[in-house]
Amino acid sequence: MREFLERFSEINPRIIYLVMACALIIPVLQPIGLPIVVDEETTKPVFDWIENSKPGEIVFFDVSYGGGSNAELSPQLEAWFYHCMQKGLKAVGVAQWETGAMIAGDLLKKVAAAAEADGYSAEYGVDWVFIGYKSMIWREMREDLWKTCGNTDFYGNNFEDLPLMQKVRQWTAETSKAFIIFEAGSPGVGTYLVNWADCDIYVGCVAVNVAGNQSILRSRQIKGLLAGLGGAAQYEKLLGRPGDATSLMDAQGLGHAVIIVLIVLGNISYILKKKNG
Amino acid sequence: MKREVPYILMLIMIVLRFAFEWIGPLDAWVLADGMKVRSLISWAMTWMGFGAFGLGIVNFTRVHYGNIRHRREHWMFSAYTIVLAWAYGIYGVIKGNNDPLFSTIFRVVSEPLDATMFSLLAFFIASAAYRAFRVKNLESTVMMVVAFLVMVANVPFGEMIWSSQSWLGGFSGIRTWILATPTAAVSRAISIGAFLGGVANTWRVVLGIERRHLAH
Amino acid sequence: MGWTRLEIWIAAFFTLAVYSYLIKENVLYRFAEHTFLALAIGRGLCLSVHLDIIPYYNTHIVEDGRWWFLLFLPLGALYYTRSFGGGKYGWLASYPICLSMGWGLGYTIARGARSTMVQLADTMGDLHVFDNLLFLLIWACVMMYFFLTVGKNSKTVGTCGKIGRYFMMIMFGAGFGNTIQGRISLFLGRLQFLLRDWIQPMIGH
Repeated sequence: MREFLERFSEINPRIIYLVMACALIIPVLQPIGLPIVVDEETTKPVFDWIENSKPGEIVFFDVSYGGGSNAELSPQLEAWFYHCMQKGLKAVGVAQWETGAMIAGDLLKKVAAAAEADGYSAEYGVDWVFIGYKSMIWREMREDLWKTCGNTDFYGNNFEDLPLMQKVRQWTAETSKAFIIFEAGSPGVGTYLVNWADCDIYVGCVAVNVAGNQSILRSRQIKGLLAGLGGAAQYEKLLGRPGDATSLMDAQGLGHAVIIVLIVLGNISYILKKKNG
Repeated sequence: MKREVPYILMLIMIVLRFAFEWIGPLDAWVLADGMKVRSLISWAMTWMGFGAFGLGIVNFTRVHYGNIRHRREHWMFSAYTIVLAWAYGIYGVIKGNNDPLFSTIFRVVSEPLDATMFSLLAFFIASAAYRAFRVKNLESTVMMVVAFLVMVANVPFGEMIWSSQSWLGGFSGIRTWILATPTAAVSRAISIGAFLGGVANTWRVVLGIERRHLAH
Repeated sequence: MGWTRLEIWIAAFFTLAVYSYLIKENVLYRFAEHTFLALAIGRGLCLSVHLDIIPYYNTHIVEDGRWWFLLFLPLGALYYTRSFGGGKYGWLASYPICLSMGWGLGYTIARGARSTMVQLADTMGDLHVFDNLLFLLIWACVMMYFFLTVGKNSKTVGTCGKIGRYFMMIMFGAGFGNTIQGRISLFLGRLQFLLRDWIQPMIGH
């Protein structure tokens, strides 16, 4: 045992990869359903914003992530967008990342179909519009959204043909008091902190960015924060609609346990080696 | 003159933009057709950017063609990459981003590849966990203890071990405080420090001390 | 999921091709890597045409009649001289670089500080609350850690800087803890696809 611990840090990393992968297979296939605690400081404000909004209110969202953050942010987007359709809100989406536009382009249709199957109205052009990726002059959207977006949405429809867009000529606090950005990096929430300071900004971010976003959360520049896959699971719990995020939280726990054990064993190995000189 | 003229143009644009942002009547200056002058200049800059359209794919082709011409290692992959990039790009330009084949290739190939590339990090972190994360001194001990607290709080097991309904709010309560106070304070200090560095660099460019963007 | 079996197999193939890197770098991984790169570049080309150029051409040039925007295209084309102009013409790229940089810097100088000012105001506010006072002290200590020239020989600045370093370790620890969650989530997403969407239907689950 002592020899094993001493030589643990020299173990072939491929064995560790295999252990890691195998440890996570069972909880992914068979979630146990461990309790999920909702964070009152970060997740609850995002949920309450939609829950307390009146039907017909317009909300904006920004999909600023790529395939590498899909696993964390798509469950957030899915839960939040379904909630909007459930509450009868009108959602208008943009994307600062082209990959975000491509991902959301499919995902939103899927969620809208699920909402309609559950009896909620989620008609494209009436209840939601996805403008998609626009790379230029974000700030101009405040004054003339139509011209800044070239009068065209992600699917090639002209804004003239979309009833919802008739009410959305500008993106200001009068049109939509609050919006959410699902971000994985830059460009991200920084685009909005100066020019949309009069709006309530909510953020759904990857877990890696949570520490960096604490500063703007504390200064109330953003009003709420969905933190990674855990944030998505908490939102699903509040919504009463468990999805992918909830089912993966048990596996998350086991994954964390594996990492903790590896760190502890690695340090024991280091101490024993140091003692032996 | 190769450096001076662009530098002077840059200064003119800086002063112009600053004036538009700070002088209200100037910012509100609207043409007969209703468009703001500031917006007009911004759009002109955007159209200038369109002039560089294709720079990415052209440069990418140049680099990989160099690999093929000099028969460098893995040159056949460079050939494959060039052909695929142009084929996919031109197909998309002709058919549009909503074409079923175009979006299917993104959904079935690009997106899984992107996600999988990033997911390799999970294994690298596991590898680093037992090989590199050493508790050698007080600082690294503090870091590891906090990391363990946050990790346990992030997963349902943390709630089972020490409930959020009990003393101090359990692991969840401790994590919330760690993130809200010390982490936010440090994050703010770092971002303000970075901001000050950015300001210093901006003024280096404005004053002409930083010239790497000008002619070689 | 709404995918056909062929689509699932293709996605699974590329997923496993990338994971093969964990065993050893190999041809399959390199093929997947180059495919990813090529598709990203091609996609960028398509999206800039269909989501930017065509809509803006229809709006600004056709509808509004501002044909003179097109006069800026050759100016932007000067960017190419850096790659293809060599030493003789590469300096021409300085023009579009300086114009766009100047326009952006003017905005940064004018507005860039606002977000930071809000944060500074928040740092100094409500100091009668213990948590806010503690926040200010931690912030000050960390700022002093980065004072590399001013107060270099001051014992106060040095000591506060050392304390600031410990608080930075707290932040790095919190960041590390969250990073673990993030990275594992990425892998779980792929594992869920492989197990639930690829393997389970194969074994008739």
